Amino acid sequence: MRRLRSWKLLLPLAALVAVGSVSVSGSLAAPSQANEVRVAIMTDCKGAFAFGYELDIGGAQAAFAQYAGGKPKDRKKPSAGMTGIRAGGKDVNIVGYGCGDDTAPTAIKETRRLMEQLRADVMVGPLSGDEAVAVANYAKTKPLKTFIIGTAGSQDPTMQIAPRNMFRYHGDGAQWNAGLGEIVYKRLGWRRAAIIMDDYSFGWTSSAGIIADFCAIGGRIVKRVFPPLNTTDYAPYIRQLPRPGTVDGYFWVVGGTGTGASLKAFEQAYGKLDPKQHAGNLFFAFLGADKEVAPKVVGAYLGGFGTAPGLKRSSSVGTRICPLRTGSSTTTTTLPGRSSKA
Amino acid sequence: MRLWASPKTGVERLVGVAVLVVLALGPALFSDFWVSTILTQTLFFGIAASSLVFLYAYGGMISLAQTALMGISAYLLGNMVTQRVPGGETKGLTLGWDPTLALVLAIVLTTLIGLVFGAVASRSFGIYFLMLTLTYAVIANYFFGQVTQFGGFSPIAGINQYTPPFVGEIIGHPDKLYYIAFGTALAVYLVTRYLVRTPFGLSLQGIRDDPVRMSSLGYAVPLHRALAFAYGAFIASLAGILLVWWDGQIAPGNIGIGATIELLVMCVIGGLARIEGAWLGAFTFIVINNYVRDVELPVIGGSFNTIIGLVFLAIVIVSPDGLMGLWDRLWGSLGRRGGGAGPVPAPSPVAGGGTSS
Repeated sequence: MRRLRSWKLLLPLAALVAVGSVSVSGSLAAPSQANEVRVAIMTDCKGAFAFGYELDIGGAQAAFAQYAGGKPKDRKKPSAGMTGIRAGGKDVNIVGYGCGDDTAPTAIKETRRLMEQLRADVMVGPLSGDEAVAVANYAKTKPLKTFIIGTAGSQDPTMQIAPRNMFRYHGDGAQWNAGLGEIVYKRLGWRRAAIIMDDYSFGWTSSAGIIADFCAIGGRIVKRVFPPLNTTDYAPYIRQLPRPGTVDGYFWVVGGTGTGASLKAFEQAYGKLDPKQHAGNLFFAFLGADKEVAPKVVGAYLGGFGTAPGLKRSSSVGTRICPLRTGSSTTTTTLPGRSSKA
Repeated sequence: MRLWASPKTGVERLVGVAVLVVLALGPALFSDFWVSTILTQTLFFGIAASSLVFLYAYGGMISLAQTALMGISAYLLGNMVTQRVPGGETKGLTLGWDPTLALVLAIVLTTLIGLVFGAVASRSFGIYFLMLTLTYAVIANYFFGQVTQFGGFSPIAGINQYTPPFVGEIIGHPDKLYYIAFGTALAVYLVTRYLVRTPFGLSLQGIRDDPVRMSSLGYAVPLHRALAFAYGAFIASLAGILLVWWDGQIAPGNIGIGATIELLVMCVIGGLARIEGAWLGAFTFIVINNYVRDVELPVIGGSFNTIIGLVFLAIVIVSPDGLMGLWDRLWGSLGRRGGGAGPVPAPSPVAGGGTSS
């Protein structure tokens, strides 16, 4: 019994010491200095856009290497970090990388970790639409922190929610599709169209860019179909679309890995794709779709992606996948914005 | 005169008091991040986990619907309190109702939904009960994800701007929300402890152990199970309210399969046999979640999910009753070694309660 009595005292004491030391270690973690800017980079390492984790981080860090003397710790792995970054007379430290999964809750969880636990001053990211919506709402509660949207193309963060401490340095998904609806109306003679769009912020924004043009000039969207993000079997959604012949064409706003799968499902349901009946957003020629999807829809019009590398600009209207020759690389022409010729 | 029934009870009460004191002094002892993120999350996820532990430990029901019920109350509150603003800042119905009314309605409606869920599932046991509750979880996730009038894929945001007068402003006041979560968790713990000692709680435990016998004795087995499920929904609804006050927003991802499994993992780590295990499991899970993000395991690779998976595996193998089970075993071995009257480990209820009634 004597041993048990000693436990009575020891256990609570041990619990207190343990909790206290964790608390102290939490409190002392990474004190920020006045001459330092702490930067975090938030992107996706899980979910539909996980393939872009290192690419995204590499892109965000490229400017540090080019203009601020940053030295990558591992050239093949950007997430290994950088050293020696200095800008505006201050040291820039990359304090951490966020690992999202294209959902809002994880984005918030990771943003909190980066901004509160690792005490970042500036966050670059997130990657996708809903994540940016969530981060924009969070940014409102942290007015002294700065948020720079990564690649997310949803409109809400900077147009509707619009916290004063959140910035975007590229267009949004609607702007990227500006002109597309007008082109298919005037050049391909579409009057009635159906649209299939990812049911999340970017899908809606991207579609809005097409629909606004198309309907403003007199076109009608007769059917809207919304597959959730991360759908793998598109057959049920394809069957919800009007049959070919009952509409003039289809707008495809199915991103991530969905474009190839959804077009394939359409092909299986209705036969070979007619490029004059299909138009889409950037995902027709992006993220591997240039090899899988583009050859099937050569000649189709598609939206742009801001100033995405690899897209060749021309003075023609819209974005168009040019005819391909066997063995050649896919080439695209693009004109961001509305055309006066159309 | 002995103050407590056993040395173990004494130590547990002392530890409990110490934990309460530490938590009461939380903002003074811990960093802001710990108070606003680790501990506040621990408290409300612990509340949600305690609803599952209650159903399992005292009703023999493993429910996968608790996360969904938590989300339902959050969605109900979000739809009722948020207001339509220029530019459409938030999603959902944006009814703009009085926050106090919305709070009460969210809790009451979630409890009623839980009662309906429980009534439908009340005659199912074991794996069938598990699958039914999983179905509820999937339905809730897809409902709020795809019926855009109630939410849609994007979050309903800005919910924590609309709080009842007795709560006041919570944005920018993490300590206030922490104490609200602390008080709620304490109340849930005490009420649950009381409930399981009432005639209802005792008959529920009888149903857990042998539903056929209880039925033949004249007890309304399905009714008891449905009412227990409704109480679990009530607890989960409180956790849902705290979640949206903390996060400000609710999205389908909060109630997806991943989140459902996470709650189950918290319960298993903490221990499904005792209510205290809910908060212990939530604390362990959240600390690991926050502190091993940048850790990459050698050889096998992976980070948080791998580590929590290994912890889960170890717990299931070493102590099926979780960390609380380890504690009980420790006392069991001490009692045997000391030759004294060793404490009796907490009973581990059989999943599903045996045969169907």
